[in-house]
Amino acid sequence: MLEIEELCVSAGAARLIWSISMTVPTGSWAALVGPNGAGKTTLCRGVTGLIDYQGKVRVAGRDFPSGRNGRARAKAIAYVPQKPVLPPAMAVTDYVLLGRFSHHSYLGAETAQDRRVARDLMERLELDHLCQRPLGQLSGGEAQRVVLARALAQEAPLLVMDEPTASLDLGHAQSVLELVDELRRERSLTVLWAVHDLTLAAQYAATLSLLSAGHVVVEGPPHLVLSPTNIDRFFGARTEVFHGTSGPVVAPVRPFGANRAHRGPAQELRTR
Amino acid sequence: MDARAGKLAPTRLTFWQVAAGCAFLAASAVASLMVGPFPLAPGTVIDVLFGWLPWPHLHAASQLSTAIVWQIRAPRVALAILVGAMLAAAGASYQGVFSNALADPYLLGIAAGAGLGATVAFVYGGSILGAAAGSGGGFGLMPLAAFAGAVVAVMATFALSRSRRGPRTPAALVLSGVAVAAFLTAVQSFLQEQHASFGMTALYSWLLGSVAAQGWGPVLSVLPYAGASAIVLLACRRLLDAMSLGDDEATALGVHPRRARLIVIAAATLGTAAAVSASGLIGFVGIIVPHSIRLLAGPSYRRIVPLSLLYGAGFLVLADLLARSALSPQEVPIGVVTAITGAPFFLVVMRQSGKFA
Repeated sequence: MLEIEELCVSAGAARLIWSISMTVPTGSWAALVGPNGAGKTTLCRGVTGLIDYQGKVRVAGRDFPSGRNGRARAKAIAYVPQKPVLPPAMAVTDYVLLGRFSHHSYLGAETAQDRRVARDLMERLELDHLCQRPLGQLSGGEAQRVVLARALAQEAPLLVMDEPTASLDLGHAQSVLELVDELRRERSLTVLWAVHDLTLAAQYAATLSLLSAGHVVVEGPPHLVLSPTNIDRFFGARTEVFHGTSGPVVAPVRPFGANRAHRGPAQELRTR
Repeated sequence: MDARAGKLAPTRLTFWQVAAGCAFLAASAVASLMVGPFPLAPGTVIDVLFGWLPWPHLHAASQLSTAIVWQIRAPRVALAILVGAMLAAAGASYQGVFSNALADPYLLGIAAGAGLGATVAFVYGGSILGAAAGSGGGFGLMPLAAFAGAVVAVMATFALSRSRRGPRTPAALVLSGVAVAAFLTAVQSFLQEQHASFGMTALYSWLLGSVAAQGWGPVLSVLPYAGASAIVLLACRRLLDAMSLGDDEATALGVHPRRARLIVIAAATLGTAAAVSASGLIGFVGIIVPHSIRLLAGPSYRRIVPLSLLYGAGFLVLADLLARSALSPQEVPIGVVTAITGAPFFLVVMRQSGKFA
């Protein structure tokens, strides 16, 4: 369970997060949505302890004060960053094993248990054929699975993901998210997920928190949060929301009349 | 266990890598003990080295060769081993902790700081402590003064690179290091010029680098610092791997990047200062050795740090051998040898790899 109480983040004189409180129950998946600059990434970084904050962050009943980082926090909170650093020459196995850092003793080597965790995860995420491959030679989808494997190797009850699928195509994004969902159910992982794509957010998360200018402005089940009114008000976007088989589908709508405007000469459909 | 486990094996330091490093070091040490104005056969050297063991002796080592090996050549080889190991491991650690392939005790201004500290001790220490310390003059103060200078230099370099606005790029650190080194070298040259009449030949030759030890004294004075530094750096090698992901992700993995950086920099600086105070300014070791190991054994610091200690030691023993035998009986400063062999080699490494800069 993740409990955030009155979390505030400032950068100089500017307030980035204004007293956000939220609770994500154990095994639940919560998505942070909102326009660019609303504070999704800042909130993820605050919870992970990468920036200073006021307020409380509690994971599985344990308080993690601002600035108190280290092994205990890494055992409770795993983090998948927006743009992970992947040293190009490092081998996949070594990278995944770095996730076990918080489980090592200060001077000790990794144990058989560490290697077993890494190996099981790499099999689970279908990375076992890539284990000796340098990170620089992975495709985007493979790299994202490797980063996920490293985060899951921490065996933390909370997984914080900041736009893990932003650079992936639809198919790869879907397979990564399905994996996260399976692992969430298997291990009752609590997931906090910052995401741009509202339709994807609605398909995977139990709760959406809509952030705007550092506040949580709307919070609740996806089909209630994602109304055309809310989306217009906070994203400034014109949309229609359909009810698809796995949740609400947000489709952009062009201004009246623009659909019929001339788009230049069209080609016939050809399929090869 | 099974083939699967082997395939998923992490990068670890293997027995054979350590054995090859030890063999290289042993071979270069024996070669260095053999060569000199009075050449010795390999068997004699080995016999002298292990003569105290209750083995059957193949050659009865003469008193003369025993004296040559233990009193003249061994201290020099031992000092080269300590200095080479220290400079290479410190270079590797600076590269890891600054996430910067260009980091090196020389480029970061640390050696220049140690050099200035030692010069100050040499110039002024003699007048302050000369009466108390006897004829040794400032040389007794040199390790401490060198360490103080090195600490000032590394702090100045680090602070300068951090004070720069905008993103923290590897180039910012190196540029700050170059500026700090230039400034400290200028101050040092000034001191040198001002005290030119002071009998500075000893200082000049010290600045060009030399492991010509006068007996076991310098070796014993460097050993505790080098040993402590090496132990800390070896313990931190896993930490350096985690820090290669950058501060954010290292923090998320449970590392305290600032604390880790402080520990590693302190240990590497102590090692560098001890090496510089005993041997003067010997360049390129901290960049050639770790980069060569990186090319051969991969990017994991679990391998780079221990192998840098072994190969750095062997490399400097060979460089010293070349320095004193190339133009025998004249001696070329060892810093000149490492620069002449190191700079072109370094360019080849950079061209071949391309991914480290």
